[in-house]
Parts: sequence; structure tokens; C-alpha cells
Amino acid sequence: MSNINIYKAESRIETGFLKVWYLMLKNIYNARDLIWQMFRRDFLMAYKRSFIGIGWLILSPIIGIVSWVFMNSTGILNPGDTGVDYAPYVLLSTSIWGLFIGFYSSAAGTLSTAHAFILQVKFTHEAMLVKQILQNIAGFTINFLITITVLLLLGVVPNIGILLFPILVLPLLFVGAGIGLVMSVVNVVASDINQFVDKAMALLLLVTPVVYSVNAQDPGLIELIKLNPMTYLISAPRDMLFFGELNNAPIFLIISLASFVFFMLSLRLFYLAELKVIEKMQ
Amino acid sequence: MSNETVIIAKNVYKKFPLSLKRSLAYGTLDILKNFMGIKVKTQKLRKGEFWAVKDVSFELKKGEILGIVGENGSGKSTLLRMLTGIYPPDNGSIEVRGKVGALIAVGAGFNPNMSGKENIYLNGTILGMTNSEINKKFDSIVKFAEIGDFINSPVSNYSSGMRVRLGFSIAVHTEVPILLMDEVLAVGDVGFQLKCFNKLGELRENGISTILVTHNMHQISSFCNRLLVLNKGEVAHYGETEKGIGVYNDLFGSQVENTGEIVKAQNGTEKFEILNVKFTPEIIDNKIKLTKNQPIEINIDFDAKEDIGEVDLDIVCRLPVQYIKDFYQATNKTISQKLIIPKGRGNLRIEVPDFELKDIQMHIFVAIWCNNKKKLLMWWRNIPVDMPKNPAMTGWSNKQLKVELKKI
Repeated sequence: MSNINIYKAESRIETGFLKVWYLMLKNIYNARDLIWQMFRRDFLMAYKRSFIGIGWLILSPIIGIVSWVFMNSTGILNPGDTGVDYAPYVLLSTSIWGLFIGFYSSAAGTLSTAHAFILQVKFTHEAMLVKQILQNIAGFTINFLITITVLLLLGVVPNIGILLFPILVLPLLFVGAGIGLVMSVVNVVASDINQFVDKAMALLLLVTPVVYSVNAQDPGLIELIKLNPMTYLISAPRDMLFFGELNNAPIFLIISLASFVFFMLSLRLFYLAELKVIEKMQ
Repeated sequence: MSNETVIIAKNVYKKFPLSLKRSLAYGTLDILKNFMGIKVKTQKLRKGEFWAVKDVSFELKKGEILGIVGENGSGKSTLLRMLTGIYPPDNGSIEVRGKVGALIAVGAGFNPNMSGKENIYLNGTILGMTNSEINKKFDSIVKFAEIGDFINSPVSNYSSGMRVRLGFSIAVHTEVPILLMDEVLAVGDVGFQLKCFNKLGELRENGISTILVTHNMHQISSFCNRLLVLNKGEVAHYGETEKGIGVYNDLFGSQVENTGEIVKAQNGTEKFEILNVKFTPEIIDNKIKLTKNQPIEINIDFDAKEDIGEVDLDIVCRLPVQYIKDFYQATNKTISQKLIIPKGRGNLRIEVPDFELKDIQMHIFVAIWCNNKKKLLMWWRNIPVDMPKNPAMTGWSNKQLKVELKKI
């Protein structure tokens, strides 16, 4: 008979180091129907149930941009030389940042969004992770198309480098989803740490050149920006889209590589911890 | 082939911490250890932990229905979660051959905001069906669940009975070789329960194995091939069903069912309709009152749309729990009488002899089966019968059941 499962204590730790990733990939592939069903349900449901529906996707970046432009025009903000007009700059920047935060929060919800399910039905939980990430990408894609439209209306024509955009945001997925996965495990065993990390993410925005440029005025801030790896990950896709160039390419590559390693380790943590975490979910 | 084993559980243990704080501390420690490549020793209890399941071993054979009973907190649900692979055991091993379909809670995994239809697709996929399989089985799922027009409205509008029906219907349509049912049949109307059991019987014929967790001893005695009785996480009995019911009653006697509620299910089938069931003396105020030396007469009028063939009649009289046993059980076979129902309307008259019992209440159960006890046609349960005061009674009866079948 096919399909024999043997359940034993601590069997996951016996899985070979590389085999963990192979197994996870295989599980995801086998669960593609499920991923599609869940994606369709959650992505469409979110808009079906909201009053404004898809309109919300258009409205939210506009509200964001208006507030930043307002702050800039009053002089509260001193963004430094952004290279392009402030409005398109902040629009694109915040949308890239939103993608990063989206990766983080969607991965963090891998186990908790399916809480009731998980305790009752056995299914591939990696499917939840992929579904969450896909949902974020789908939301971002719509948001991004709107952003580009607004950029064109503002007279900013994206560089041909825009074609590299999907590759250049990959490290954001690795860092965001990596932190998120770690949090999806930590969430269940220590929920207060979760709130701390949420706050830390908000703080991270302030020390990353998102609403201001890398050429900020304050020397202390400049030092901080330089040390912050997020600076390079956020700037790369933005610079490519606006100017068709990659500043600090070697640093960007090193950080990207590190982010990939971090993501793979977080997957391993998830795989090892998953069953123990589920036991604590009551 | 029928002896093929689909689940082998060997000395299975599972522990849980008593307090939440400790649970989180142990959890964090274990996860960190694992991440650094260190195995956690799960075989021993640490401070503040207890065994939720302790040294449980059993086997499930192909085409078998195994009952699991025990009080709340006896480890039944934990055991089921281990069988599905949601929790790993802390010691021992579980070998599962084939896919498992579990129905652990009412409408497990239903999304209340989605329509019944959307939930069928979602739940079906979770249980391992592909989209095209669901397409093929969709109508049959809806028909079995008796959801009708509600199929397009959100599940939040469904009654708990409807949710169970839909959940059960999806689960039995997955055609997995192993089904786990946790108390799911406690909800929903009796008619549907009967239909479910008939379905389980049908699945058993096709070699599908089922584990049934329930508090209902009558369900257990009617359907289970073997019984596992759990007491505080440990096996109190594993094996023969009737013996197990005795063990269960000894352990938890005071909590056995018998709420006094009469259950009347007389679905019949498409080809066999039950027109009327009449007890003499009549059931008044939810009970039958007998006078001295009076038998109970049951008249069942039916309409057979075609030849039904042989049916089985089963009568059980049960005393209050402190006396434990079904003290009287008789079938048409115990009096060597074959009951063959031809096409047409007919009447089945049953006479249950007067028992020489004094001043006590018993409960009477009547079941009629067809297809060699695979399908229930009628099942009236738990009808209280007050026995008269009579100092001359000896407490037993050696009189036999009388059964008569005639055309009307």
C-alpha cells in the first residue's frame, strides 16, 4: 500500500539538513490546488466583504501620498535631494516599503490565520505560507500598477530598468518573510514579543530612506542609514525604476545573499518548530 | 485481504504541561534545542507535566469500525490528533497506511462567510480531493447533506445540524481508506444519524476503516467491531465490544446516557416506507405504563415499493445503569423466524413478553435492519417502560418474543 506515514517523537530533527528544503518544496508543489483555493478565497473575500471593494486599492496609496506631500510642503519634513519630485518619490518608496511589511506580516500569519483549521485537519502548512505571500504579491501588483499610472500622470516615465524590478524586490521577500516566519513561531510561545517586533518595524521605517532620501541632512542620520541594510534593499528597486542604475551594487548583492541565507534558515526553524508550536495552540 | 492492518499504534504516549507558563517555557526551550540540532528527550515527564495519553496500543484493520470511548479528558481527542499527524507522539509510534480523513469537530475548517458551495471546494481540497474530483462529486455531496437551496448561502446561516451534515458528507465523499469521527454524530437529527451510520456501513463493505469516538453506547454496540476504552489516558479495555461496554459502565456507570429522551428514527429507504408505529399500551407522557402481566405490543405498518427481502428485527430492554446490562435482547432469529418482506403494504406485529420485574423502569429499543444488518430501516430508542408493583414477580422471564408479519 502506498502512502505509509509513521509518526514518532522528534522525527523532524532527523530529517537531513538539505532535505528539509526539498521536502518543503515538494509539499508546496503537492498542495498547489489547496494554495489556489485558499488564495482565491482570501484574496477575493477581502474585497467582497469590504464596502469600497477593489476601490480601496486605489484609494489607499492616494491617501498615503497626500499626507506625505502635505508634510513636505509645510516644511515639517526635510527629505534632502531625492533626485525626482517628492510626490512620485514618496509614492514609489512607500509602496516598496509596503511590499516589505506585507511580506513580514503575511508570513507572520502563516499559522495564526489558520488556527482553527490546523488543530482539526492535517494539511501542508507551507501552503499557508505560500498563500499568504501570493496574496501580498497580488495586492502589491494592483497597487504597483496604480502607482505607475500615477507616476505617468505626474510626468515621471519609469526607466526600462523597471523590468528588473521583480528580481530586485526578492531580497525584501527574503528578509520580510524570514522575520515573519520566525515571528509565526514566536507568536504562539510568546505573544508579547510580537508587539515589540511590530513596533520595531515602525521604527525601522524612520531610519530607512523611504520618506526622505539617502542624501538626508543630518550627519548622524546618514551614518545610521548607511549601517541599515534595509537602505540598500529599498533603494535598489527604486533607483532602478527612476534612473536605471544600481548604486552600491556590491553591498546590495552581499545583503541580498545574506537575506537569502536568513530566509532559508527561517524555513528550517519553521519546519522544526511547527509541530511544537501547534501543540501550544489551544 | 480483510485482515490487512491500516493503523498500528504501539505504546503511544503524549504529555502536556499543566500550566500555560510552563508550557511556553518548555516550548521555547525545545524549539531552540531542535534548531541547534539537539534532540529533546520526550520520554520522561518534566516538572509540571502529565501524560494525556499513556501507553496506548491498538490496531485498526481494513474494513473495521473501532469505537473509542472514555470520559471527557480521557485522551480521545489527543489520540485522534496523533493519528491524523497533527501532534507527534512523545513516545511509541503510530503507523498509518493510507490517507486519513478526519472529522474532529462540527464543520471543522468551514469558513462561515463563504457559501456552502465554496466551502465544499475548500474543505474538499483540504481533505485531499482535486478540483475535478470535487466537480464530479459535488451533486452527490449536496444531496447527501440535504442542504438544498442553502448551498449558495453563507455557512454562518446554517444550523449546527446542517454543518455536521455538510462536513460529514464531504468527509465520506473523499473516499479515503481511513475515517476518524469524533463525536460528530452527536449533533444533528436522528434521521440523519441513521443515514450516516448506514453510510459508514456501506463504506465498511468497501473496505474503508473507521474510528468512531462517541458517548453513545447504543451506537457503539450496534456498529463497532471492536472497542477501545480509555481511562485517564490509559487503555482500560481493548477488544470485544460487549465486554468493553461493561468495562465502560463499570468505570463511568453514573454518567452513561439515558437522558430519558425517546429517539424515533424511521427513515426507511426509497423502497421501504414506514407508515405508522404504534405501541400498546400507548406511549403517554413519554413513557409506557404496564399493568400486571401485560406484554408490550408493537405494530409497524409499512409500504414496500418492491421486494425488500430478509429483514432483521432487534429488541433490547435495558435496566437503569446501576444494573448495567441489557437484560433482555431478542431478535427474530432467536426465535428462528425469518422475516421476508414482499412488495406491498404490510404490518409487522411484535409482542415483547411480560417480564416479571417489580416496580422498576426499563428502557426498550427497537431496530429493524435490512441487507444483512447493513442498513437500518427503523430505530426507536430509549422508550421508558414503567413496570407495575407486583410482589409475586420473580424478576425474569422465560417467555419468548412473538413476531407476526401480514399483508394489509
